Amino acid sequence: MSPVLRLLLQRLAISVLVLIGVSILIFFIARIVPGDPARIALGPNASQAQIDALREARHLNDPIVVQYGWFIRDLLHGDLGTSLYTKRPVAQDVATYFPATLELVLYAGAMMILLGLPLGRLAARFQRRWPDHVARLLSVIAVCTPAFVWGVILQLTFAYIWPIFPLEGRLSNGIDAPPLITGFYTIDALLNGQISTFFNAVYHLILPATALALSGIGQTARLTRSSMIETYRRPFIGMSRAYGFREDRISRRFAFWPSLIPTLTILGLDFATMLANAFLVERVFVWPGLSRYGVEVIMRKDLDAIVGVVLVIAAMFLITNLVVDLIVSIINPRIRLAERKAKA
Amino acid sequence: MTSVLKIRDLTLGFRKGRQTAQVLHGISMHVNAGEKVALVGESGSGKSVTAQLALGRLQQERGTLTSGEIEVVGHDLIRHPEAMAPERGHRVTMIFQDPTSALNPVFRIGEIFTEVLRSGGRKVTAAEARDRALKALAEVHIPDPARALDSYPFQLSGGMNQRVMIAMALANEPELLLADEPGTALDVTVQAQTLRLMDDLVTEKGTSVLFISHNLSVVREFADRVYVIYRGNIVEHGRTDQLFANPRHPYTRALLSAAPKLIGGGLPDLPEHSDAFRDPLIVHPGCGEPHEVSA
Repeated sequence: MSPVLRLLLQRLAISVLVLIGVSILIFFIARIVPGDPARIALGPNASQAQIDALREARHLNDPIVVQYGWFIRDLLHGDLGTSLYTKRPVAQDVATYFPATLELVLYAGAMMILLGLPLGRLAARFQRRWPDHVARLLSVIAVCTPAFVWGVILQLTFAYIWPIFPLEGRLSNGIDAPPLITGFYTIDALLNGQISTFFNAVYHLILPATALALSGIGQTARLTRSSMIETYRRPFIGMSRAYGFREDRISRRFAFWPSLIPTLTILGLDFATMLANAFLVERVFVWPGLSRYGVEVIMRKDLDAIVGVVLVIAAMFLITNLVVDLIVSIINPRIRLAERKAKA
Repeated sequence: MTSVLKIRDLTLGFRKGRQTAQVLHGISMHVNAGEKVALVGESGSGKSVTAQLALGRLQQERGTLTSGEIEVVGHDLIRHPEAMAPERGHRVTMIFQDPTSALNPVFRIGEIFTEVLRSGGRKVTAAEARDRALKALAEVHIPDPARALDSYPFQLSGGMNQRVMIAMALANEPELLLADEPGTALDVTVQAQTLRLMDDLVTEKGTSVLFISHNLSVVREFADRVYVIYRGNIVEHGRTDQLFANPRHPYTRALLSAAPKLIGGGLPDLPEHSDAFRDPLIVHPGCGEPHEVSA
């Protein structure tokens, strides 16, 4: 078995354990929080008989451990329960809202990588000269301002005062959502050859994705910079210079790749954190995403939905980490070839 | 005789804020074509900065103050250190203390080698580079050159990496090789083997070497002439046989007695500093700087 595959399987096994742990934790926490979900769901005018009936139907009168048993039984049948708020299966709600969030986060993540890494690389290359000062100032501003503030600032500037981008939503009024394939409007539109829908979706993505990405871009730039500065002090960079490698090649290749290894792991966490941060941005831009749904159901103590949302976000964290580990093991030959060396 | 390296009254200082730390106090030395010259001293004496100056790198950093003359393969490196850019890796190359850490850990030996062959913007095709690298590795007696090229530095032993480093240093047929404590990080036996190999190859190719070391026994084996440097001053200069037979400067004597002996005698008791170490430069007969000889 290749070392990369073994690492992957190991991580996968750990991930399943973590998910079980998270499910237990969030299941009990959601139920310990005060408030009667049945009463909230039925509203102030419901009779006691109605409330009792709903509590009975949802097993809310059983001991909490027994309730967890019911939950696990349903889960094994692929059933995440039913939302008391939307009255639909939680799995169906997640399938509706999650792609919107994931699309937003993926675009923000792409911006984080595509802008943050080069910015940090340039800052390190021109350390203590003006490109570095500019990059550092921008990064600090980007990191220190919360995503929802960026949302409001961007909305005011580029959608209200200077209306080049739409204020909110995923598509303009009058444009139909493309037929559902992945749930990503941009991809679905392309798959169906609806070019104008694609551009409309991208057009709507730019502001919220930027708002979400900015602090990540700053963080990425700072991490990349410090990691590269560290690498620049290593003897192999001294060797590269003594042998006349072009400074640009050193910055793009010989110092960049070794620096990426420690940076990526933290970037993965940053990326996953964007999922959790997305809810404020989704609120500002009226984005029909999972994070907004998550806040909604927590306010209503919608037990099954809370557990469902948290599990999906936890799973995304784990998947992101898995992907990052995979990329790191590909970049770092020490991990990729660990086994071959042991044999030799 | 032409000198590939000529240094005259070279001073070096580092400015930090308002203070200047003086590192070299006007040293003069030269390395003739095909000659192997050692620069010997303790750590902090200014050996390695001399090599960095010879590469033209140090004087381009901010806060570096230099005066005097340093001329390498015909370039005036006080006035035009940037002239060295296309020469590095070609007419002047370098070998390091620890070969394994001097080779980039995330690139294959072959990729690094190709970059060395292409440095200074030279056009070399991938096939040509591989061909030349294979030949260079065979020259340093690496058993399976093709496999070495496809390996990462951490997959090879320190000795193998040092051979790779020597092959890289000599692949572009340099006129001057700067060997900065070569192989000090290796086992003594491996260090001796790789030094022997380097010695054979440079002798065969007629490459000049500036050999920077604190290890006198290695210098004795290797060098034609020796400069002893102490706290930024050259204190003694002579042919290797002269210097070892008749060390005249108090610091050279101290350095020689500091070398561990095979037949015991305990650790020598050496002062960290003595006023006698500040004695003026002693030049053995027939070893003066070229400008002094002609003057």
